[in-house]
Formats: sequence, structure tokens, C-alpha cells
Amino acid sequence: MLRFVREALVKAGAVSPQARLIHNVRLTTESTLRLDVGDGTGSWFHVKACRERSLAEEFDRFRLARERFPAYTAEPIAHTCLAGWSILIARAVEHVPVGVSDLASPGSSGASLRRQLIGFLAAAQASAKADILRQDNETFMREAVACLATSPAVSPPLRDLALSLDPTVWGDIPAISQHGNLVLNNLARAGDRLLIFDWKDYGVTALAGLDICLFALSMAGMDAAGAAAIQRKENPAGQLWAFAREACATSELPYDTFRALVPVYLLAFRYLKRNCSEEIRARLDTMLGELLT
Amino acid sequence: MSIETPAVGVYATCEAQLRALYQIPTPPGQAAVLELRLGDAGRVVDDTWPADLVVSCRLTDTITQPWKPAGLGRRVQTCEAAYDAPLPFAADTFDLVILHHTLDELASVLSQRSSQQVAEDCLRRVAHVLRPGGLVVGCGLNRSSPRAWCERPRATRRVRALGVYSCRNVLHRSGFAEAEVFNLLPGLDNPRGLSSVDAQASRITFRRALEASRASLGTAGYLARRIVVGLSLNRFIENVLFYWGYKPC
Repeated sequence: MLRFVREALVKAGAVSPQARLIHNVRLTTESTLRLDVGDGTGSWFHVKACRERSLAEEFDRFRLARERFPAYTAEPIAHTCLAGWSILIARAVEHVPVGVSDLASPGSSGASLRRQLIGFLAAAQASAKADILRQDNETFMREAVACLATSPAVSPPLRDLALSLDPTVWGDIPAISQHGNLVLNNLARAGDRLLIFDWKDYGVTALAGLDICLFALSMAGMDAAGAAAIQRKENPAGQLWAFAREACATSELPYDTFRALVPVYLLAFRYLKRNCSEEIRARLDTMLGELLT
Repeated sequence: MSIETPAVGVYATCEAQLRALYQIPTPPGQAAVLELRLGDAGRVVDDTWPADLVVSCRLTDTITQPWKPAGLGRRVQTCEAAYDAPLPFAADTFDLVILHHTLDELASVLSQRSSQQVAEDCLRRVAHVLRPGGLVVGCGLNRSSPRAWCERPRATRRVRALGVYSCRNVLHRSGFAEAEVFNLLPGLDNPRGLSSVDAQASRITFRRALEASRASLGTAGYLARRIVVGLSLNRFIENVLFYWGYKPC
């Protein structure tokens, strides 16, 4: 497999054929291998390889995100298929993970991260005007409801919730292409710069507020109690998700509407995660089940 | 409408993760695989390993099951070979040889010689049965790791294993090229990744891990670890090394 990675890097013009490559390898619990590949001269590449599915669409979404949010994304370089492996290459950026405490910090570093997060959401809103490819909210939600209502893997309370939703609820939600998995794990900082990873679901839905909801939930603990608190608090000031009010204003989404839509966002997220591992789906089902009772 | 088709995590179990790590450097179209072991059962290959010939050979002092080729097939063929004698296979037979803790276990048995000498002798015998372009891949305790000291055999005072530098040197001296040595993370019970022992690569991995756990550390603990990471010392502390090398064409 490493031979193919080398071949893909050489083919993309990222390394010379003679380069002595250095590898760090990570396995995910699902089906992808992630490698950081160094060429020995200080340049590093992030390589994702998968034999079970194609990463071509993910690469296209990643490229689109890079075009729209160059300050927040690494540079995608190439996608190639070799001997059954789908290989996605991006330029690696040395980074460290961002934690709740980093974002909630009252210091200038925390303020800078929060400002950049709002900046990203503002850029997403700005790009929506010219985004002719963005997903129609009604179509997306109709598909999501139909899928969740008929899937045997979905728990009965969720199925009932999906079926009971009033389609007019999402009729007035602004359409802004969403990252789709904007959680803390997908954020990092390179120096003072905020980086966002994992663009494989970018633009799959344009349900404005989904990214804000997921990020707020991820700050609040990614559980039913956090979701209930986000729904309950009219004013998020002083909470870990205090950014949400300003973020909603950026997306032209009234904060009260956002709060009321939390179960809809979670259903939409559950739909986006329908092909993920059982562990992730069960966690989401539990969260939604607890939120509904 | 999209149908719910939950992904089966191909790397979901510890065994699958270990096998995946052993398969990462393997060349395509491998035809014959050999696992050398000292224990009763092989720990990496089984009859689902993607190869035409899979041989699990136990190294022992008394041979009761000499090598008798059973023909090509996906079933694992087993045999025994003497600790110190040439391997009972024709030259250039295998594409891949797996040494899962074989070198340190062999060094413990052959305790009158240095672990480096034992490893070098074994790897030369492995090189003989590998085809040009073939690969040796394995793991073992890290000689310099405090945790490896705890796991050393009671009968010996020293850790009978290779270290970060000696592992690569031994592979080169035994005739292997493109040798790479890694820390296996977080460990054998949950093998989730490999971090190169190259100083810069090691710093990248462990800095990221440190920052991810920063919230749970006090200031002193964080700063101490930061120094350890900055000096690339984690590669000497982690207890399992993973390595590979190719037989030159």
C-alpha cells in the first residue's frame, strides 16, 4: 500500500521519485488509513487511503471548501486510484488540537479563535449568495425524514419524531452550505490560525444553523443534557456556547428559531451519519431519545 | 432516497488493526507469507490472510514437525525449525516474513549472545528465504523503554530487545534496505497507529497527543511533557517498536 502512496505523491508532483519518505500512520475505527508523509526536507503531506469506498467526492468537496475558505483549510493536492486504493493527498499543516478550554479562554488567544470561528460562519453565509449548487433544504429534509422513518436501524422514538415533523418548520431556514460535522475534533490551530478538517460532508446540506448547533453541542458535552440546555437557555451569554447567538446573527437565523430547531438539526446530523459505525449511530440515537423524553 | 448502509469498520477489532498495520508496507500481489514464532500459535496470520501460501513456522530447540509443503492453498501450513539453524525453505520463497515479537523472544532463549547478534543472525536467515523486493516486518519491545524493563524476563537482568537505533542498524547490517522503525501506539492491545522514530515525525505525533490531553494535566505536568516532546524523547519511552525492511532487488 505504501508503494501506491509513494506513486500517488510522485504522480501529483509532491515529492521526487528518489525522496526518502517518513511515515506516521493512523488507523480509524472505520475503513480509512491516515498517513502523515514527510519527504525529509521538511514538507509533510496528509494522505487518506481507503479500499472500501472512493474518496473522489470527498476530494471534490474538500477542493470546493478550500476555494471558499482558504484561510481555514489545508490545501488539497490530488486524488488518485491505484490498485483498488482510493488515495487523497493534501498538504499537511503542523497543528495542535483545539479544546473547550482554548475556545472558552477569556484571553486574547481564545478571543482570536472565537473571532475566526464567527469569521468562518460569515464567509459561509457570504458564499451562499453565489452558491448555485447548494442543496435545497426541503429536498434534503424530505430525504432525511424518509430515510430515518423507514430504516430498521433507527430507534422507534426517532422514527416517530421524523414522521411527526411539520415540513413547514424548515421552509424558512436560510440555505447556506454546511460543513456537516463541525465538532471540536475537526478543529485545530496552527499558531494563531484556526483550521477546520474533514470536509467530506461539506455542502451535503444547506440547513443553516446545523454547524452552529453541532459546534455548540460539542462545546456543551455532546450529550442530551447539553442539547436540552442549548434549547432551554434564551440567552447563551456566559455559557460555553455563547458564540451561538452572534453566529446565528451572522447566518441571518433568529436565535429563538435556532433553539427550536435543535431536534431537527440532530435528526439531520443523524441522517448524515447514517453510514457511520454503529457506535456513532447508537450514541446519536441515545442523545436524541433522551432529548425527546 | 439514500439507504442506510452502516459501514462495517474494517479496522474495528484489535486483530484487524494489527493485521492492517502488518499489511501497510506489503507489496501488491503477495504470493507467499511466512510467520516465524516461538509460541504455540501464530498471532498475526490466519487462513484469511490474502496470500496464496501462508506458512506459520515455530522456532524451537526440538523439531517435531519438519517442513513438508502441502501444496498451494489458503490454509495456514505449519512447521517447526531449529532456533539457530537455517530456515527449512528454499531461497527466495517468500514475499513477506512476519516477526511478531520473534526477535526479542528469540534473544531471551539464546541469552548467551547479545540481542543484536541474535536479531542479525535471524534476519540474515530471513533475508535468504525472501524474494528480492520482499519484506520483513515485525515488532518487539523497545530496549530503552521503562515499561519494557518491567516486562523483561525474570531470569535476566537486561531487556533482551532492540532499541530505536539498533533496530534500524541491525536491519541494514542484515542486508535490508529502506528500513523504517516506528513506535506502535498506543500499544499491542489497541494498535491504532505507527509513529516514525525520526525525531521530527516523533515530535509531530506526540505534540498532538500532548495537546489533546492538555486539559487533564496540571501546568507542571504539561511543561515537563512538553520538554520531553520537544527533545523527541517519547520514541525512547514507548514500549513497542514496529519495523520493516525490504530485501534489495
